[in-house]
Amino acid sequence: MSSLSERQKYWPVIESYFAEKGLVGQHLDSFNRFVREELQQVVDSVGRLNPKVEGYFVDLGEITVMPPSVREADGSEHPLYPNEARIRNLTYASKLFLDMTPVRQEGSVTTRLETMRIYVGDLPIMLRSETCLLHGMSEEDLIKHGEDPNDPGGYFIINGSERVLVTQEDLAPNRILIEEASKSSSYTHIAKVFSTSRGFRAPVTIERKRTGELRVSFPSVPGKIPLAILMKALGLESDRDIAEVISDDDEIRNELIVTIEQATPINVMRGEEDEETSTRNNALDFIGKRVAVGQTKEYRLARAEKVLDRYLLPHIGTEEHHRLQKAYYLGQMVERLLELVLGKRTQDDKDHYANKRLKLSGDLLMSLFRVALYSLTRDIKYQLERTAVRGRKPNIRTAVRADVITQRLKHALATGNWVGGKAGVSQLLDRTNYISSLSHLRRVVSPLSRSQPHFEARDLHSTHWGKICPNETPEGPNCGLVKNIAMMAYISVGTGEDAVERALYKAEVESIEKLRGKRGAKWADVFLNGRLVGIHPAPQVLAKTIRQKRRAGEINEEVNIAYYEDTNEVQVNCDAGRVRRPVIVVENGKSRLTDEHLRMVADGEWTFTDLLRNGIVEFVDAEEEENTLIAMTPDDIGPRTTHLEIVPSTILGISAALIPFPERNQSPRNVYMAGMAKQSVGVPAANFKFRADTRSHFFHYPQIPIVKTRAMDSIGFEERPAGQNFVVGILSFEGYNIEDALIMNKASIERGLGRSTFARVYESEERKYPGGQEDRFEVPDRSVRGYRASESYRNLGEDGIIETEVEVQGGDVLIGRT
Amino acid sequence: MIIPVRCFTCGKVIADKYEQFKREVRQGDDPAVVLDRLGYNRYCCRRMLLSHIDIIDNFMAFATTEGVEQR
Amino acid sequence: MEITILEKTEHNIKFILEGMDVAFANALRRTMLTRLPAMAIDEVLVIENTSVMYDEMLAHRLGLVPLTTILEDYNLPDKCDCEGKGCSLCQCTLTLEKEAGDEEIMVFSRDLSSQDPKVVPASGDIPLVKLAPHQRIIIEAYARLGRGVENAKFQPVATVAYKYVPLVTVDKSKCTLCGDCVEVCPKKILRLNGNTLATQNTLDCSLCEACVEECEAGAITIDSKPDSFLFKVESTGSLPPEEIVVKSAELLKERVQVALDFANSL
Repeated sequence: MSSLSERQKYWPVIESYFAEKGLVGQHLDSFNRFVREELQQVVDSVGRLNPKVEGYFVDLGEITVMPPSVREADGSEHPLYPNEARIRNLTYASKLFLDMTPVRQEGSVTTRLETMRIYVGDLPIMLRSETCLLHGMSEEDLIKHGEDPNDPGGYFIINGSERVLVTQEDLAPNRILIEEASKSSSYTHIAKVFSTSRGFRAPVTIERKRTGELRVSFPSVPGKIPLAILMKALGLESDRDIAEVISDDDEIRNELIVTIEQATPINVMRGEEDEETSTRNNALDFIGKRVAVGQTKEYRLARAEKVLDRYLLPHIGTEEHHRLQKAYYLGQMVERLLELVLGKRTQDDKDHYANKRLKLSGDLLMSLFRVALYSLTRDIKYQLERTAVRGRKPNIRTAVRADVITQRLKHALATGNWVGGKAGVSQLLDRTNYISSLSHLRRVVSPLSRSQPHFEARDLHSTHWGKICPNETPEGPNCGLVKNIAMMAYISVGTGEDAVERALYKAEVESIEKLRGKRGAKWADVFLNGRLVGIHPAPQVLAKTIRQKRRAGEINEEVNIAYYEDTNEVQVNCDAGRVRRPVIVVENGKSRLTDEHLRMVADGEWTFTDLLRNGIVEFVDAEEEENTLIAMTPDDIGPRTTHLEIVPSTILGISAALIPFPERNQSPRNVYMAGMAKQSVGVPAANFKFRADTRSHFFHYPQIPIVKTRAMDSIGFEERPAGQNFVVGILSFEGYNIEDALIMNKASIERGLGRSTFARVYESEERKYPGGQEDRFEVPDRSVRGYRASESYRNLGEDGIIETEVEVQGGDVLIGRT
Repeated sequence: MIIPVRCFTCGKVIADKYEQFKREVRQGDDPAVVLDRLGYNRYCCRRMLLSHIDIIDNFMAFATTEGVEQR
Repeated sequence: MEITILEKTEHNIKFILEGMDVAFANALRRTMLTRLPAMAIDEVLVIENTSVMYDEMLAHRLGLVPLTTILEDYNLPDKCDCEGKGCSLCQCTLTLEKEAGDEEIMVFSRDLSSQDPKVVPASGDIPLVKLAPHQRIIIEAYARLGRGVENAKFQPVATVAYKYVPLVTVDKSKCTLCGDCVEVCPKKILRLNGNTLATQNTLDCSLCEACVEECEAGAITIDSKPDSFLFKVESTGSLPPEEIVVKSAELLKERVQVALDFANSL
């Protein structure tokens, strides 16, 4: 074991990481990306409003997010700071302005009218994000605005309550998963993909029946379609084309015979084709008969084409020219499925973290905002049509009701009921102590049902290493389904696919389109975000080149690449939601992080980004980790080592990192501690006097532990401590032993041990009623109906509200409302 | 918040020596030696000084702005 | 009964009590701890407090400040003529008024000004609260006599402890002078002196018997003197330690007398 100082010397790297990203960096980055890019993308995807008004439509332009503000009852407006929102039960939100250009079309003449910037609704703002007023503020300024400088941000304020959008774990979209089916089902093997595009989730499955036939199912088409017919409908008319797209392996092609024979009834002999009958048309009609029963043939064909474009694998594209690509993708699925059947490949591991994606607050807000914007456009259209029917000139300004978006967003955030029927997405931020708040912001929930066993999903998986805390999970029904991300884990926000694709072609990847789907067995398939983009003769070299380019900064650092030797394929990822962690690059048996670098980081000359930019440290995801050999300590570096762990104890989460010597404990004890650390009374926030939480605890004499962990310094636990060092005697003598209980020394309590204050909020409102009656806060007069003994009102001030710092008893009046 | 007046466990007054303890530890003395010198022999009193955090300063930062606003 | 004072400082006293059994020793200890009255602030009138500390906490801290006590000058409230309402015979008023200027200041126990010059904080250096600029506290506090049973703040002592007086004997005929026992003793009681094993500061012995376990020859025996106890009394500063012992003994005698009288009347 290396010496203490040797083990401690890497911590400055971790501190520089926290200094840069903060403890809730994933939420902030995700929200920033949402505001900066995705908001506009959602608007662009709507693009144009087409109300049923002759010669009139509206083009949507740029969307702008204003700084957070509030509109008072008297109509005045002023910037809103978070603590004002908290105290006055307001929503910390910004105004959204959308550029709208009405266009008038008369015959062939189109006239674009003046562009108007219209207020379309309020967007709740995440604290400490780029849009937040607190962004980039100095400590003094934060305090001036009533904000605790140690508060991490990353949550929203809705009607005065702090709400967290809990990260949702999901199966990776657009990735092929092959599985063996249970014995009782009607099929033997299955290939599944959740094709997701713009919030629309379209699962496609290919099943292999016991007879060997392959059937495909996808949304909007009832039942299952034989694979060969679907392929033909997509444009691969000959059986040879289909076989080539799938594999050039004879064994696999043998398996296809049954499938291909299924399509014979619709085949048309060469030379017999005419305008009406071709193999492709027949195949389309086969589908058309299912989706448009009892319609004319033309309609059926058109409808079938539309269904294929819209609902089959929408992530590849929704245009006509994407059909062949879809066929290649299906071919890929079939190859994998048949390889599984023939035992050339093993089942995919659903619980492998490479097959999981985390949806952060930005992604969640995007899906919510999309729905909100759709309902706004519907509403605008309706309003425009109504004015048109009345014979008036449509006016876009009066047609927009900003309430639609505001209420939709606010309601979802306030209740936690998300689009798609998910509940409990937004939760009230746990303010028991500083650690509980941080841990809450780093929580990940799996949508699997709590009632079913799901043993595998709850298990700790080896790919959780460094990404998910092994100890911090609740006991009971949620065990293993609610998780917390590890200290150094970071969740990717995604980067543009096009640049990566170009880089791949530059690195001599042969494009799949050029090859017309024919992939040889010798060359490795190259996937980008689960989509087959091409093949490459020397995958090891490709992986190396891409990694080098990433370290040199030529391609985005979010790109990860992995080569699977057993299946001869390359997976390149640059999508959002992958959990990644930083490791030190090792080259030729030597760590690239030298003592000189460590000194520069410790002195603050270099930030974490500098390390990243210089290729000294890099982020790896679960997929790329499969290609690495990571040494635990510098002494462990061998000839084949590719990376070095920064600090091994960062596999733990925030809460578990507080445990001294966890490796010497029985593992459930660590789980209990990680859970109970979040229940200890402490100092939740320094601004407790300026907060009005409905319930809050405040600990008067918090102490720091005598035995502490190194991570406590990095997290800042000692600035917001929780708990006290009790002197405990254990007497387990002759049966006079009490389990799970303490007898407290009365004198120590009287001296202040464990002294805490509990605060709760009581509120009341002066209302005006129809008919002239109104409430008033006052010390009630004897004549008021329901008057209690004057004793009860003794502590009320002149204004009818209880005086500060007076002792009250049960039955005392706190607010006198008449 | 601020150093407790007495040791929770034994009742010995500890608050009066805290400033001195803090000063001497800041000057680089070993806390154990300082505690011995101050006459805190029992571990209950020693933990009071060792594990205390003066977090009142964090709260006072807010109070300052409040005081200014009031005036 | 015989008392030998071993050590006496301003706040501490150490003595050997001989010729008494454990029951008496413990009764004496408990009397000192819970029965002997001392002054402490019991009620606080907060006129103004703009500090960050809650009134309750401020009052709590004030209560724990030990006050010098002259037992003869005050009555226990329940034994006072005013029947506990509070009069100058059973109550002492202390006031505290402090305002921070442009700098933050610390309010110390010495800032408490007492009505009675004999009832003042035993230590003036106890920090009570820190005031940020322009914060102010005005407080009126009422101190009274009380007993430890009621609240720990009335205890005149921090710790009272007794232990048996240890007897360390070395059987020179059995001792091999291996010196193992010297190493193992946490209190450094045994010492190799030339070719004999000598004992020193035997009163420090904690009766752990580590030396007995270590000694293979069985040369060491640790025993305790029957009916004699080593007392250690640590005062909080409200009363001098010897007064605590004397007054407690008197109190104990009175209380035993009450019990005896009651028993005789049956």
